[in-house]
Amino acid sequence: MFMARCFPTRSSRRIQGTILFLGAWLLLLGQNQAIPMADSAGTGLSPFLDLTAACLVLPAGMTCPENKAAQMLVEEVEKRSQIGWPIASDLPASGKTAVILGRRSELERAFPALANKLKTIGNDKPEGYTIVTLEPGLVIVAGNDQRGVLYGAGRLLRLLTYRRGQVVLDGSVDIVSAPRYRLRGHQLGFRPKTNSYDGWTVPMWEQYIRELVIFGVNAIELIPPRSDDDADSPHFPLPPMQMMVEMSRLAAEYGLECWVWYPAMDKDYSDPVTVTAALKEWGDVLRQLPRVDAVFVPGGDPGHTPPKVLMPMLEKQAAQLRQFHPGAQMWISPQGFDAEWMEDFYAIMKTEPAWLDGVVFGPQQSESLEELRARIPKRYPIRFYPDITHTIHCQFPVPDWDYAYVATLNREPINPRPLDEAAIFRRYQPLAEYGFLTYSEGCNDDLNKCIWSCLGWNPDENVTNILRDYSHFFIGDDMAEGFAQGLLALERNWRGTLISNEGVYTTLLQFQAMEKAATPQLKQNWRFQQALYRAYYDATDRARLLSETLQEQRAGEPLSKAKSIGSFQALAAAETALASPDVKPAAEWRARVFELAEALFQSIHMQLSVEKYQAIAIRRGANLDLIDFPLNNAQWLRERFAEIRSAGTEPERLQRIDEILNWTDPGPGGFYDDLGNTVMEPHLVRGESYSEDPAFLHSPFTGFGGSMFDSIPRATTRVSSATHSEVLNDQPLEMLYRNLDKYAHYRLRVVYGNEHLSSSKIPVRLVANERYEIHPFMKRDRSQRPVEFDVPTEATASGELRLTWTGPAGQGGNGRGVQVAEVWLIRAQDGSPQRSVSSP
Amino acid sequence: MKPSMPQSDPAGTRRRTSFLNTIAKGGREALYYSRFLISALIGISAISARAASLDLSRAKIFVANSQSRIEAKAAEMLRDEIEKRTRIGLDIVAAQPGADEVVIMIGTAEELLSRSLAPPAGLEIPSKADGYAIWIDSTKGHATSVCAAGHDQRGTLFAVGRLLRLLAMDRDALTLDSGVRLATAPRYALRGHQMGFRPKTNAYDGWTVAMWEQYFRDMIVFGMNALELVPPRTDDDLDSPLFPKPPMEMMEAMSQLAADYGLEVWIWYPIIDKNYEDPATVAAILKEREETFRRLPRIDAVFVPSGDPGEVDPRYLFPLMAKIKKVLNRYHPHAAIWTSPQNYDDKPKTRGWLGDFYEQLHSGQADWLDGVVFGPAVTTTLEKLRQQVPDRFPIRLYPDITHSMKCQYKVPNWDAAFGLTEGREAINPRPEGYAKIFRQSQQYGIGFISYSEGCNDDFNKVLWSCLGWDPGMNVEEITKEYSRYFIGDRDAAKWSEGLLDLEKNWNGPLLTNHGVDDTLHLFQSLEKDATPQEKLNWRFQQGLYRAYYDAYVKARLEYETDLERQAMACLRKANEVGSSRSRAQAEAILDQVETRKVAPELRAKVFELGEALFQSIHMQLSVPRYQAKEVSRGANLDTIDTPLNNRFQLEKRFSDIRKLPSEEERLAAIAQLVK
Repeated sequence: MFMARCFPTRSSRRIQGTILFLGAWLLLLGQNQAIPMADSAGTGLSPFLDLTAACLVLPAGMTCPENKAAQMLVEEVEKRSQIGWPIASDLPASGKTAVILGRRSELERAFPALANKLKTIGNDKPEGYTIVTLEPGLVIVAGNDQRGVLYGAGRLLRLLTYRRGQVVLDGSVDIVSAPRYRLRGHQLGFRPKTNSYDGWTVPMWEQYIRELVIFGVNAIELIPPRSDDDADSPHFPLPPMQMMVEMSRLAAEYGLECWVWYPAMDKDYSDPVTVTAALKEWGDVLRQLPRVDAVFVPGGDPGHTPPKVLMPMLEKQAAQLRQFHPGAQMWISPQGFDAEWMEDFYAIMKTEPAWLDGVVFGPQQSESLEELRARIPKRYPIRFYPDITHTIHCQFPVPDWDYAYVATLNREPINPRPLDEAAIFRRYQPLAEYGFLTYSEGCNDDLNKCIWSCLGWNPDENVTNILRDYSHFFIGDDMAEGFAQGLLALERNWRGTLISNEGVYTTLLQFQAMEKAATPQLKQNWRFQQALYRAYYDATDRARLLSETLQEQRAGEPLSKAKSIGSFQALAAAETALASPDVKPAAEWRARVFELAEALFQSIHMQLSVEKYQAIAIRRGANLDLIDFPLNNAQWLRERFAEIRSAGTEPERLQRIDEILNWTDPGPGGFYDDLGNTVMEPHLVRGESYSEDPAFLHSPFTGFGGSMFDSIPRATTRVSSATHSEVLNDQPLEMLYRNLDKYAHYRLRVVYGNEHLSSSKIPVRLVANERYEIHPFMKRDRSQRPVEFDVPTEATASGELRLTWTGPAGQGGNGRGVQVAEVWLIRAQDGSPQRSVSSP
Repeated sequence: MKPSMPQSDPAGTRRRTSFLNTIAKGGREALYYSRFLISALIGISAISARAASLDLSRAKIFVANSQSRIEAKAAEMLRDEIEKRTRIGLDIVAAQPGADEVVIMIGTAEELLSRSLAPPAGLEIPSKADGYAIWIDSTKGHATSVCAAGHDQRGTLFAVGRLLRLLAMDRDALTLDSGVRLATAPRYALRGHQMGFRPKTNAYDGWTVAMWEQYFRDMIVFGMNALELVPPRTDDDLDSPLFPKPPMEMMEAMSQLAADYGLEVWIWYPIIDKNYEDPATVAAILKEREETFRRLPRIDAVFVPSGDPGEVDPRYLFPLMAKIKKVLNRYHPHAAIWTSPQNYDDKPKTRGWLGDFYEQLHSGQADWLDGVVFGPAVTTTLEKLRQQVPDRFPIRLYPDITHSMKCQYKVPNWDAAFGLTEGREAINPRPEGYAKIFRQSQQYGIGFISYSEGCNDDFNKVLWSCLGWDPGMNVEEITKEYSRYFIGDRDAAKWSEGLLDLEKNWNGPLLTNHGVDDTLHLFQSLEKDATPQEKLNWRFQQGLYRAYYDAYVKARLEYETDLERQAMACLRKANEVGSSRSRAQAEAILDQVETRKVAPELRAKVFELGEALFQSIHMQLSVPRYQAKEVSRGANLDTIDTPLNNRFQLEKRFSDIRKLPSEEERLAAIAQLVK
């Protein structure tokens, strides 16, 4: 009875032995006469309760998900302590310890002696539970409903302290709890690009889903075999359709909501033939799934169908869906819609289509969540769909991330961002009353999932306490505090400029101390491996950044003497200075990164390299392949050197060398801003604080482009040009100069940003002081050569110059496009530019 | 612990070359590949190979006797092992499939006969324990049946194991040569391996019950019918930080697994207490054993070594064993007791230790004894032992297949550089060497349970198992079958070659063994094209680890030998340049070992593979990194940098020379050194 499955399964066969074993226990314990609990008011409870010899008492009438909760409790305790709690159906003899788990109503029925205890301490909220310790050694976990039993068991697992051969509950417990938000879920896409998930077997999925459940998750979102990804992965242990069925079955067994993220991939849904084919395709997938609660169709990312065409198709899909899964919901997001489509969408929503159940707010939505809520009829709930997985080119980029990290860790690294995620949650979640189901691309963001799950349960929870809870459960009691603080330290590693962030080495020292003290089990724990990987990787980055920065400076020395030693010799000496050293900086740390990558491949089939582990692409989290990516301008310089060598005359060569050396010099009385380099952009007009605007919907933010995003990443873009400042959607990007020389004539030199993923064809317009057009809408130069413009003297006559860049209004898509990398404001001597620079 | 799941591959690579060897093999096995033989002889084309194969991807598995635990386990094993390699999950069905289906029938020959499935004419199942036959029945009117028929219950297990070795398995593809038709029985009745869940085994102590079951299965597929457990208290630590379960619980679980699969359970149970003449000691020994015997679901025999460890005088040993057997039979009425004369005869008495031992055997007082074990540290030869031991006592061999030096069968001509680095318990496939030892020794025994200290010797286990079944198998057949089943069809030929090459790497002086680099290239080519599943496969990792480690030792030996030569050349010029300068130069050259490392990429790779092996099978290749018990217990990552020249000794001499009072003396000392 205990491990009964609701659905036929391949793996159920494998636990038959366990069932027999547990069944025997039940028989054995059934013979014990239950002694009713004496009323134990009076003496206080002992400070901690040793549950090593406890049994797990279950009432009759446990449902399938409740049995899963019991199984989860027993197995997770055993994994951590080697203690296998036997199962009983009666209360234990006096003096014995027990955990009593079940729905409150069933517990009352089965154990009348406990009934009044439960009545006085209960609550009735859905998914809620009560955990209370009673003398002399009973722990009651009473769920308000089926899911309450699951979350009560999960909470108990988090409360227990495990040692080898011992399970202890610290202190007496009296907890009544229920979740604040109705939907608390995460996307789990079994597809090639998720960089680990595609290697996961059914038991690995069950383990992960359990671990999510333990922290309060009540929904998962699956992805059908056909999406914006390859159809196959060499890692797939099962064909994707089969795995989707298995994962849906797991959701059903644990009683979780099963969502399906279903992108509309076909070319033209205005063609009835396409619609018929799509109905068949979707139907064939959905009918096979044991459980579907909702289908969510993104309007964009991917998606390209105007709402007027998309929504009629979805109406048909919704009708079909409900044939297979009565009551299943249909949701849609207006992701990537431009202004016109957005208005069409609102117009349709105004008609309140009955087949639609809700609207999703996700990445690439130009409207704010407030605006969306205001314009969508009240009957439609809004689900938040936050991207918790990406660092750049995404909904919630890491604020002011250092170029060195972008060039190496890139877009999908292991990314614990506890404070950022909490800020995002607190800023937006209250606007989406229904709850959230996050956008995730694997287990790199595991901690972020946990932050969302916990805050979704209790928005007032202290973040550090969440980290302690996470670490206590996943890493163990001994290292809980160290690991929790270590996770915060990893987030701190990413703050500010890396060259000045000495804390990165401190973080590594702390993790090395934990590594040294780690048990073999901890070294096999992928969460531990992930944190170590990041600690070592970050430190290796910093060591290399320092070393390569120094190299570049050394290369400048012969160049500055080019006049006396000759250009060829200067170039040769500079190249020697830039050459890769024989012994790599921090070679031992770097070696450890590779070992940890191997560990992660073995433990959770994580693919940190395309070549070594057959990741789908470098930028899909395979950042081992970028660990040696140059962090200075060496490659850019080498290309310039080659050009200089082929220049005709020595004076020409010397002139070109001079330009390189004086790249950032705006001349006397001028200004140079390297936008995207937080310590070199004094004239950038900043926006709201991070906690007010973590999506940068109203504020400029640091962005990245250039050749490191080529299909084979290259370091040929000057670092200053590869970083830029940018804004989203219709937001202007502004720079402000005060106290200029009112009588001078200024010229402006600009390097525009070049991000391949953005709509880089989007033209940009530059206006001074809201009146003087410096240049009309123009396309950006992909080569990123500097362009120069005259600034009308009228514009600077007041001594204040405000530069405003804008793109065309209402573009939609990912909203990116206005990107400015470098700006020189040059005070012309004698009314003319100081130096001439090649113009496009 | 996952076996490889071979990648999709052009059909041409699915050639069944191992069949050729099977056909060529002599011995007891009757093999008929009529149709295949012809195509094999004319050179197999992909087309004919495909034409001759039966698609099993939709087959059902049916167990003839639903009451048989062993047959049920055989069916589960078949289904699971196929699924791991193909992603195809065959259904085990309760009702016999109908005429239009394909079925794999598992049962004894008798049970199959009762379902109208008789072996084809001319195919007879040898009437011998563990024997089996495999054939395909395509009679019209009922399901096409692949018959895996045992002579007895356990024979079904080995039939299924053999079937697994015969199947062509690829991602989403499962076929069997339609000409398959064979009947066979093992030559030796006892084919087992010691599996000690204890700290010093350098991987086993980290294994879970599920991992053990996988390993049992892997061994069953190659014919293992017995295993030997080790009790919690031996000549080892009581606890390991890697233990996933307390050792007594694990011992119970392993015994239960063996019972489920119908394998013989032996216990290697040394007597490590002192004062066995003291009745209190004897009582304690018996009490401890009683607890163990009571808890284990299955015990077939207890083997009490007289030494290694233990120092028991035969006059006390025999009465003690008689008592132990009584306790044993209380819980396991048919269980046997065996002993071995593993004792160095270091306290010569009138007849010596061995003499006393023989006397006990001839005394007529040892009727209760069931057999004698020949293992390491026996001071006589096997041949002589057989002559001296009364015929009524069978002899079981207990060959050490795990150690490379200071052991029963040391690696012949092993270069000292390997001894200093890889050490005594390295990953050690030794196909030719052990085959030779097997053939020299096995005829004196009823079979063997090997002495093993973990999974480093995994290939050697399979070799002994195969030869124990059919001594006529040649070594290359075994390496190929092993590679095909564990690594996969696609890379089987190369892997097989690699196993033989690893043994050759260890043969003779390393400096002149250029094969070491070729071996590395072979393994690197396999690594380059490896599927993710291969990279997750610990056997694949072990092969790579050895190939890289061997090549690194060779690179270092060359480098350090050359540095020493250069240093000596400097010293020879001492008379010209002065003692202090030549010494300084020589020292600087020797120190290049630290400052200019050779082949760092090979070394880094060894460490990555060490990490892989820790994660995949919890192998402990280092004490500080992975909490191996000791460096000498296979933790050879810790000795990877052991100097391979005389640098330390020379530098010590240099500092002595520096202290000499006169230049003349210093030069003389250097001259002495150079000599």
